Amino acid sequence: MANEITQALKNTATKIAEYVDNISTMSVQTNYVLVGGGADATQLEAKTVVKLDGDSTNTVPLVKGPDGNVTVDQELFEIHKANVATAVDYRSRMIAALLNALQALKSS
Amino acid sequence: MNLLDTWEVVVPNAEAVSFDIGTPPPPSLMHWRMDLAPDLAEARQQIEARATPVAQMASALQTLPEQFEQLAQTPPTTTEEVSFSLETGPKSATQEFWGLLRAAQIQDAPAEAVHFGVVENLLGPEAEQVMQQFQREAEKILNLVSYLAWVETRVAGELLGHTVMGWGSDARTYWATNASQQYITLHEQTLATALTSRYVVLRRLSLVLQGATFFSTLLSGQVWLAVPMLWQFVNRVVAEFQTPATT
Repeated sequence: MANEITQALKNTATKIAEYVDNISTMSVQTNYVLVGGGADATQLEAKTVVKLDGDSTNTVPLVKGPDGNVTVDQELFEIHKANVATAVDYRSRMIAALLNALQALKSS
Repeated sequence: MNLLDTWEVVVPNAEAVSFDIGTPPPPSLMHWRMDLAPDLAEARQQIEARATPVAQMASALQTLPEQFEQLAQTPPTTTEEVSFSLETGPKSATQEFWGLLRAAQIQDAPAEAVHFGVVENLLGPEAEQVMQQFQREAEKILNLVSYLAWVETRVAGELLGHTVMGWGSDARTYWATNASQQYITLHEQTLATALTSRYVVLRRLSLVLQGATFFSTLLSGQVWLAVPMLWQFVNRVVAEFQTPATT
């Protein structure tokens, strides 16, 4: 049993190390979909890409007012920002848990 | 309640789960589905019922680092403190932990093991069973966090919103065009619960491994021997926090 468990722990460490290696960017998209409208019925509303080096790009939802001026659609943008905050929080918690697990496995 | 069972492995059937147009969808992903009642109050209760065991596990896990420290600071000094009968089982997670650990320490001394009365059980088939359970769960957890998560909220069967998220937090959320702010909040709460459930099962695995590494110093550095003990201990602590849902 000892060999099996040791091997299982090594396999776990390898998998976790692979996950941690692959964290250079994070992309969050918010779309709207017309229910029942098929794959073509989706529309990109907002997108945020965050890179580990600190660069980030944002695609923000805009609306054209009656005067022809274009402004940010605040309601949609708030929804998107909530999605980004959820993703960032999730990412940081998962990476911390993975790193802790990896640290424990490497010291074993 | 096993939080891993609230996720279902499914084969994606739409390009909607792919992050880039033209990129084939992944072979499988983990699906969390919430089908809510149209009544907002009832819908909130349904979400609460799913969120409660997740929050309970999160609370239990927060106590573990301190519990590990307390365990290490107060090892039992007498045989009686770690002995328990097979009929009644151990009184507490702590007693079971030290019973298992002491049994492991004296596994090469069968004469002494008689004092415990349970050594052959703890280090025999039962321990192997625990270890196999741990391996199965660890495999499931790693699959859960490595597969894309597909969290879907429906109201009376109609799609409200769904989010596809990779383990590194790449995410794409789709909203029904007629989704109101109140219902958007419901999907956000569903998503938060689903993601927290992924986090807590990974955190539990991480804490078991950290604890096993820590206590392996009492077992000649054999982490593999400490893993089933910590797995048992952590699961008992979590079970103590989990009370039946009120809804």
